[in-house]
Amino acid sequence: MLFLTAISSLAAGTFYGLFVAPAEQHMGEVQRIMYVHVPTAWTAMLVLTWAFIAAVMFLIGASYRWDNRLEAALGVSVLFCLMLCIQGAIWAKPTWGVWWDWDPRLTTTAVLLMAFTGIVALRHFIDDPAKRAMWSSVATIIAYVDVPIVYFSVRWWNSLHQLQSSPSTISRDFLIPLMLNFAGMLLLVIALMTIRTRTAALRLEDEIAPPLVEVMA
Amino acid sequence: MNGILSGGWNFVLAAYLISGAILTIYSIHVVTDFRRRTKGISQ
Repeated sequence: MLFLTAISSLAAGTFYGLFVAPAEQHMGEVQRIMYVHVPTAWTAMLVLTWAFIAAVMFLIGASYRWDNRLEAALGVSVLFCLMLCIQGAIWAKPTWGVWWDWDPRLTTTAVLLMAFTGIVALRHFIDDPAKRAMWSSVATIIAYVDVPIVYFSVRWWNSLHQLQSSPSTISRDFLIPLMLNFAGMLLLVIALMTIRTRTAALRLEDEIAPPLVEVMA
Repeated sequence: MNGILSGGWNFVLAAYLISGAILTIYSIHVVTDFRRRTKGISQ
């Protein structure tokens, strides 16, 4: 149900963004990338924050439930940071003339992608569930420091990237596809993280108490 | 050069198609991984 609602919202947002919303005055058609890029950024920030909360809660409560949630959030975080960088590069080429620039916003986002990819890799290398949970929680908390830096980078330093816009200052025709795609992405992420959390819990059960077939072999 | 961009639909389509492909592939991976694990338990 969640999947269907997410797909419907994304389909409606994409249709509105591509075919109904008018072209922007200066950027023309290219500005339509905003309807997928900005919701990706908002969703990424929320998932990264959820990963941070899960890491802190694991360290406070030492419950594997929070580690399972952390595992789910880490995978989705990497996915959304990757999408963000790819969409940004595609938007940068026609507007800035280059696919990539070592601009503060782009650089800090790339650091975020590398850091969280590293944490996912770290989890694959550690077999002991307790050490894996502990180390990845600590690493997540350290890596999360970059999230506010990414957000404020356009205000703190001179950046090619534009400042954040407020929904109250943009046209309704621009806001509708933006919000539809954001709602769709958020619902999709909730559905995916719910399933990934269950998968992580099942894998952990296997690790702590492997099936008898494996033990007897 | 008047500071106004014209065209660019190829970039727009690339951004949407790549994002859609990434989300679709990951969603399929998550669902199949879950099914494989639950199937393994039930056997």
